[in-house]
Amino acid sequence: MIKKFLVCSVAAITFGAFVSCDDNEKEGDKIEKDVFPVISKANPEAYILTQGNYYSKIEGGLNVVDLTESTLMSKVFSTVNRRSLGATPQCGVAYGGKIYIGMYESNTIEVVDRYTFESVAQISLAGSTEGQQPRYMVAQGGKVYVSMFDGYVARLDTLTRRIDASVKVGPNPEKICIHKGKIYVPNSDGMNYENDYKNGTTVSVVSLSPFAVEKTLTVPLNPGNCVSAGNNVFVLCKGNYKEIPSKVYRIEEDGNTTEIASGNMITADGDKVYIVDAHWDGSGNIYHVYDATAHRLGTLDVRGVDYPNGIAVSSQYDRIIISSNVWGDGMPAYDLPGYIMEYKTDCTFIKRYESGVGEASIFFSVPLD
Amino acid sequence: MRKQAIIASICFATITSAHNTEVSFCSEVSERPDSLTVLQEVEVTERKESKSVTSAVPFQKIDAERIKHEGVTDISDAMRRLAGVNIRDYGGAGGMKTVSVRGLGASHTGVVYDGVSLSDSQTGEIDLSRYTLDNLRSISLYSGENDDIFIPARAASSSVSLFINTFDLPSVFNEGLHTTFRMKTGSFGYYNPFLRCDYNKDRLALSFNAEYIHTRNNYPFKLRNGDYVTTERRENSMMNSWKCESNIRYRFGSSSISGKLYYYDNSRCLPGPVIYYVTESQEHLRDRNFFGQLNYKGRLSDKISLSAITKFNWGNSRYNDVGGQYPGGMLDNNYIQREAYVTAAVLYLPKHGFSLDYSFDWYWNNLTTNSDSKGKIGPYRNSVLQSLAFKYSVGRFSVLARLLYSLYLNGAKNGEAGKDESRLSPSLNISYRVSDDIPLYVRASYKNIFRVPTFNEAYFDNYGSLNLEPEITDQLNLGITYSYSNSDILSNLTLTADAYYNRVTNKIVALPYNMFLWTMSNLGKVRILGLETNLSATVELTSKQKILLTGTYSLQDARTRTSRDMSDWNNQVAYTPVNSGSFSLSWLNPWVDTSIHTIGCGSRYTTNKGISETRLSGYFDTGITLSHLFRLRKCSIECRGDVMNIFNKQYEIVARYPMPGRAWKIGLTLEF
Repeated sequence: MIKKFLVCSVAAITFGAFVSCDDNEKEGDKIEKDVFPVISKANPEAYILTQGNYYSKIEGGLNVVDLTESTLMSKVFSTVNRRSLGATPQCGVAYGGKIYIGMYESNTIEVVDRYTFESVAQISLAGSTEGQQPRYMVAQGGKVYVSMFDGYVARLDTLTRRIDASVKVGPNPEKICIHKGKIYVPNSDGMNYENDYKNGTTVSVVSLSPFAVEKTLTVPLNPGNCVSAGNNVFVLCKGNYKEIPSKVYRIEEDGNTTEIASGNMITADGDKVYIVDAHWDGSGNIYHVYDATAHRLGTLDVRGVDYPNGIAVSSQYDRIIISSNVWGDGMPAYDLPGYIMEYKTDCTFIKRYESGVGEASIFFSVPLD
Repeated sequence: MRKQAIIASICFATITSAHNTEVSFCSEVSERPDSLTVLQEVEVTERKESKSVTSAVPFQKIDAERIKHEGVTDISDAMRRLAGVNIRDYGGAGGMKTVSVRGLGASHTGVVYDGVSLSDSQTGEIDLSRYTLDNLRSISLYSGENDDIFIPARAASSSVSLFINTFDLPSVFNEGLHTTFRMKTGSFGYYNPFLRCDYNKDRLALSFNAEYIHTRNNYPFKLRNGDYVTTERRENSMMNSWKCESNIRYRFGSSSISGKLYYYDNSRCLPGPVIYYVTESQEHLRDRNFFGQLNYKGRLSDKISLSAITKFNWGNSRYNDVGGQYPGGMLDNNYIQREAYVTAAVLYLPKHGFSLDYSFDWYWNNLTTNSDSKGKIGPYRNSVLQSLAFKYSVGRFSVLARLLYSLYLNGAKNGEAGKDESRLSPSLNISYRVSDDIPLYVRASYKNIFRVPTFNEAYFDNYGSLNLEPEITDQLNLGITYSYSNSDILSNLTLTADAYYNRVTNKIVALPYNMFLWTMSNLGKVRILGLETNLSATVELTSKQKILLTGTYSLQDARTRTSRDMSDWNNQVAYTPVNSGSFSLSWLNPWVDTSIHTIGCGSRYTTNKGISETRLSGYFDTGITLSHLFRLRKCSIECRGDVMNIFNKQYEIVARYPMPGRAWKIGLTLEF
C-alpha cells in the first residue's frame, strides 16, 4: 500500500514537471501572419491610442476608426506586425503616409505605414541626450516635433527617421502646438508633485527656424496642453488638482494670460477651442466651445459620455471624437476597456465603439503640406 | 543518558522560548545549577503529538530539519511550501518578497523575529527577502490566533502570524566554543559566506553570526512579444547584502536576561519590470536596519512567570532613480523609520491545565523623509495593546480565548494627524480529541482583528487619506487533524485538513479623488472560502534509510464582494490562485540524501476584473537536492547541491517580473 502510494507520488511529481514544460517557448519562434484588412484607399481616419495598463499585463495599442465606413479596427499595429507597440503608447500624429507613435515607458517612436500599418522603423530613445520619454507630437514641414518628458523638444526628420535636433525647455513638457511658425511648450513640472509643481509656471516658445527657444512665458500653475486657434494660443493649466482648479487661458500677444473657462481637457480646430470640464464625481460634464475670433464662449450639447478622458475635433471630417472610461470599482475604471463616441461637429451622435484600456491620444489623419 | 539529555533540552528550549504555557512541566530543569545535575532516568512511553495536530488553530511549521532534508532553498521556497500562502516574489535573490495568507493581503501578516514583532509602519508589509535560511531554526505560521498565550500582545494583533526563529544562542549542554562556517555559491554570480560562533560557559552564552551575499542576479528569461520569443537577461540586478547579529544570555536562578544586536545592510540595483524594447534601468534601493533588544524571562513563583522585552528599531530605505524627468535629474526618496517598544507578559498557572496570561505592549513609531512637502509632516503613532488570554485543557478538550484591546494614537510633527483608533478584538479557539485511542482531533476557531492604515495610506503625498477607518478581518476555521505512528514502517503520519471562511471589510483601496488624483478610501469587501490540507509521512525503510513525504494543497475562493453594481463583483481577488500546493519526497540514506520537490500554483489575475488579458498562467517549479554529511572526529562537513527549477519553467509570480529558470547552488558547511 505504501509502495503504491510512493509510486503514485513520484508519478504525480513527474507528471507535474512535464506539464510545466509544455508551454515553454523556443527562441526565434514566429507564427505566420494572419491576413489583416489593408487600407488601400485614403479614407479619413481617426486614430485612438490606448495606453493599456502595462503592469497589469494589459497592452495598449493603436485603434483606427474609419470615418467613412464607421468601423473600428482594434490594435491594428500588433495584429499586423505580430508584436507589441510597446509599453504605454502615449502620443501620435498621422502625417502624410505615416503614423508616428511615441511610447512613454518603452521610450521608442514607432513609424508606421498609414495604409498597411506595417512598421517602417522603430526609433529607440533609450540613452539619448536629445530627449527621452515622448509625451506629445505635432508635425510640420517634413518634421515631427516631439515633447520629451525629460525636458526637451526633439525634432524628427521624416526622411532620415532620425532625431536631427532638440532644444532644452522646461521641466516635464506636455502637449505642444505649432502656432505661426513657433512651438508652444507647456512646462508642467508634473514630476515635482511633492512641491506642488512649483516650477510648472511657464510656456516655452520655440522657433522652428532656427530651432531654438525664443522666449519663455509665465502662465498659471501646471500648464498641460497648448492649442492654437485663430490668432491665439490657448493653454490649459491644471492647477494642483486640489484647491487650485484646472482652467483654460488665452495667451495674449504681450504674453499675459486671460482666463476663458474652467476645464480639464482642450482641443482646437480652426478658430475654435473645445473645452471639456469633466467631473468624475457624477455631477455632470460640461462641454464648451470658444470662438477664438469672436471671443465668444458657448456650450456643446454632447450627450452619452460618462467619464470623458480625451477629445479631438476635425471640421475637415465633420467629427468630434470623445473617449470615455467605464464605471469600475466605484470609480471610472483604469483597468477596463473604455469606449469611443463619434459625433458630427453639431453634436449629432453617429456611433459608439468599444475601445481599449486607457485612451491616451486621439488624432486625425492630416495631409502632407 | 542520551534520552535524558534530549528531554532536558526540549524542556529547556521550551522555557527559554517563553512562548509556551507548559512552563510548570519544565520546572525540574529550569533552575540549572552551576554544576551538572544528573537527572533521573525516564522512559518514553508515548510519542508527543505534533503541535500541528494538537493546536486549536491552524499551525504550520518548517524547521531546520525539514529545510535540510526536503531541499528548501530559500525563504521564498520555504514559504511556498506552506498551505494557503501566496507570496509576492519579484524574482531572484534581490527581489522583494511579501506574504499573504488565505487571501487576506500582505498587510495582515505579522512577522515575529525571535519572539519580537517586526514592523514596517510605512508600508505595513515585511520584506522576507532579507531573511535567509542559514541561521534559521524554524518558520511557524499561525492562521488566526496563536496557540501559545504567553506572548506579547502585539504578536497576537495580526490576522496571521509568521514566527521566524533563529539559532540565537547555543544549548546549555554544548559548552565551549563552537564554530559553523558555510560557503554557498550558485548560478548568476551568487556567493554567500556565513560564519557563526557560539560560546557557552556556565551561566553565560554568547553567539555571533554574520553573512554576506553577493549576486549579479542577471538570470536569463524568455520574453514573448507577440509572436516573437527572445532570450533576455535581467539587467541591473546586482545585490550586495550583509548582516550580522550577536546574542548574549546570562542566566541566574530560574531567570535569564538575553540581548540581541542586529544590523542589516542591503544595497541592490532594481531591474524593474520587463518593458518591451528597454533593458536599461538605473533604479537602486538601499535598505538598512538596526535593532537592539533586551529580554528578561523568569519564574517569579511556581505559578507565575514573567517575560519583559524592550527594543529599539531603526530602519532606513533609500530609493534612487536617475532620469531627466525628475526634478534635478534624480529621484531620491529617503525614508527613516524608528520604533521604541516595551512589552511585558505575565503568565499565571493556578492549576494544572489552566493558564492565564496578561500582556501589555507599548510601542512608538515614526517616519521621516526627505520629501519637501507632505513628507515632512513627520507622522508618529503611539500604540498601546493589552491582551488577556486563557487556555484550559481538560481531558480531551482544550479551549483558548483572547481579548485584545488596541489603542492607536496618531500624531504629526508638522500637520494634521490621522484618526485615532481603539477596538476590542476577541478570539476563541477550541480543540477536541475525538477518542483516547485515536489521535484524531477536531478544531474550531474564530478571530476578529483589524489593521490600522499604514503611514503611506494615511499620509503619502496626494494619495493618503487621514480619515481612513481600520481594515477589519473575521476568520472562522473548522479543521480535523490526525496523526499515526507505528514502530514498524510508517513511523509517522500526520494529516490536517481545515476549511475556513474569512471576511475583510473596510478594505483600504485607492480611488480617484478626481481625474488626476488618487486617494485611499475604505471601500472593499472580500470574502474568502478556503480549504487547506497538509500531509506528512515518514517511512522507515531500514534502520538507516527513511522516506520523508510532505504535501500541501490549498483551495482559495477569494472574491471581491463590495457591491453588486461593481464590475468586479464576485471576481477572484488579484494575485490569488484558486489552487496551489507543494510536494516533496526525500530519501535519507547513508550515501547521498536525495530530495525532489515541486511547488504548483494555478492561474491568477493581476487585477480584480478577471479579464483574460490579465491572466497569469499557472506553473510548477520542481527542484532536486542532494546532500551528504561527513563526520571527522569533532568536525562535521556537509556538502549540498541544489538544482532549482530543473525543467526550466518560465513563469511569473508578479506580472512583468519573470522568475529565474533553471539554476544551481552548492554549499559546504563546516561545524567544529
